[in-house]
Amino acid sequence: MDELLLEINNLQTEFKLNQGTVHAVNGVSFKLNKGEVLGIVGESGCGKSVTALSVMRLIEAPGRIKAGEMLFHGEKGVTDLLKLSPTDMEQVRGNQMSMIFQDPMTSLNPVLTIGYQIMEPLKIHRKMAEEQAQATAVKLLERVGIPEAALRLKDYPHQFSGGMRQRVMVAMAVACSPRLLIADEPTTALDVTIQAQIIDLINELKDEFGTAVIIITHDLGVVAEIANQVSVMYAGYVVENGPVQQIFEAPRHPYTKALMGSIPRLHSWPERLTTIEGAPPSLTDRIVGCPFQPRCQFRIERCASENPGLMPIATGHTCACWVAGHE
Amino acid sequence: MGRYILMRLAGVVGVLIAVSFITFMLMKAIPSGPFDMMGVQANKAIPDQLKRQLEAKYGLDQPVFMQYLLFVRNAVKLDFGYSFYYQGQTIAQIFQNQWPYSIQLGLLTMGFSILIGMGLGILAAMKQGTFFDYLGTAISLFCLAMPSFVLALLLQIVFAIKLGWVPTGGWDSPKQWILPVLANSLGPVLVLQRYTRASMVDVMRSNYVRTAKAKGLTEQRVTFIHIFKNALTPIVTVGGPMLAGLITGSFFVESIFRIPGIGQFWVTAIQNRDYPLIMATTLAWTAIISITYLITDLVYAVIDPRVTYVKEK
Repeated sequence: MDELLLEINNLQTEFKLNQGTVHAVNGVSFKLNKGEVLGIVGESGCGKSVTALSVMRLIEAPGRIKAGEMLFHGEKGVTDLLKLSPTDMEQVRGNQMSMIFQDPMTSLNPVLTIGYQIMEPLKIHRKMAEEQAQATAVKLLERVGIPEAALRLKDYPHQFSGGMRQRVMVAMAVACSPRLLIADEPTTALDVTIQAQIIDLINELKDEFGTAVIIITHDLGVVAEIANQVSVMYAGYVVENGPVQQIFEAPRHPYTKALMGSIPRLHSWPERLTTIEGAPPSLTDRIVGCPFQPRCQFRIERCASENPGLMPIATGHTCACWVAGHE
Repeated sequence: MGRYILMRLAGVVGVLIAVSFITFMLMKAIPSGPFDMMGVQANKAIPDQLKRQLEAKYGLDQPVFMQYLLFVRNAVKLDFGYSFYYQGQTIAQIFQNQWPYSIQLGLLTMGFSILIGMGLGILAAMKQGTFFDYLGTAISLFCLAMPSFVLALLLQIVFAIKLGWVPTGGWDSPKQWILPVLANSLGPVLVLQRYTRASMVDVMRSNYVRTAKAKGLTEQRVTFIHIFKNALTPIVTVGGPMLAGLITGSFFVESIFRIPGIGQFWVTAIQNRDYPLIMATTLAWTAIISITYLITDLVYAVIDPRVTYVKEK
């Protein structure tokens, strides 16, 4: 029986700006089992990153988490992350769950040594003394494939290449063997060969540390390679949720279908890749009905007035579509 | 690093030579000389013959270029000769007797301003849009709008005359330091508060600050280790020249509080056409500001490892 690690229910995050409220995440729900990998995919601005930052509770003003429930099955039983005090949340962050960010060039502090930055969570969460933290940091750096790790502890981020910096970020994130690792587009800023290495590294470490992973990306290739489960997001909503095989081989939501159609494939080379007419809706508007409906070629009358919400259509497979649900 | 410092010091020598030459020639170009000014102050004209005698005594009858070379020859030995105005005192004596007061006032002012200005700046950045932010803005606007000589007089009236807590002036006991330091720190507090706040706010938006938070560090740790160290560079940029300005004394504050500092000499030397003192004060300022910039540049390398003055192999 799979053990549940994280259960997100109806998460809503918004940003109050002068021009209006941006509804970045509109009731996202998903579940993640221990040791599994969930891929969150969708185009830029669909709320993937905001979802991730919400889970870490790193949303800063003017943003706020409006509603929802984030049940985390930690060492001390189940806690709702949204109900933790800021101090208690600090105990969770970097310790039980950690995050890797998109841009390795700017995500490390330029004036602190790599060693200092890796040792920080070890000292704070694991209460390690200097020497012990140092030894652990060397091991971590070696594990992520940094040559001459002991010497490089004293180096600063600018002395590392982008790929190497992302390895350092990975080492830092897994330092305290977290139960959950969130990787927000970890390979977007890297070139292709390095991308593959980083994904392989995350994949290996996940098994080694028994860590569950949420990987956020718009690269469907990455998802196919690493994820067990996939959530497809559109305009702040999850439109389809399911096992990776089903999402790729039998997508049900029209948006997911179009997304799959836009991937160039090696063996069946179409004349043109599929594109989706129109543009995503503005997130400052209140969306009535299905968010994808204005661009959808299968829409029916009901789509414009009523949001379908996620409906189960197969075991472990949910889809938010009036049409797909009733085929 | 040593090589870099030597190169920079050689540059300072070049600057000193250029500044001394330009100042010397400008000084000679202004109408009326030191002895005319004495006559003006005594309210009668000095007889021509006497003036020529005086000029001959001080070597002012020689061609200007010769005078300059003579000046350089002595200045190299740090000998600026006698003041034309303060009879019987050498320039070296004036500096020795007066400058320590200004240095002390300047350092105290700097320390106080760092504490208050940077403290308010950090607080304002951490608590953006709250009472503390507006308090910092209010205090720095006050510093901007209030001239130091007005504040100096107000402080004297309230704390020295009405309340009698501290003396009105002098520089003998720490009690007498309080009011001058307050009056002197208006500008520095303003600049440090604004720069600190702006620089901290700028750094707070960086990705690496988000990384630090994602590691579960406390807010204090994020602020003082991850943000502050990165925010220091612009603060050092304004702080270095600020310190140079402060240790060379303040005309107003020193006069109002009867501090025997050197601040007034920068101003009066020109009025009095006190040639040796003009040259000495100008060159002292040039040297101080040049060295300050050198030190500021070296401090950058200490704060930010990306800054290096040594060619990497």
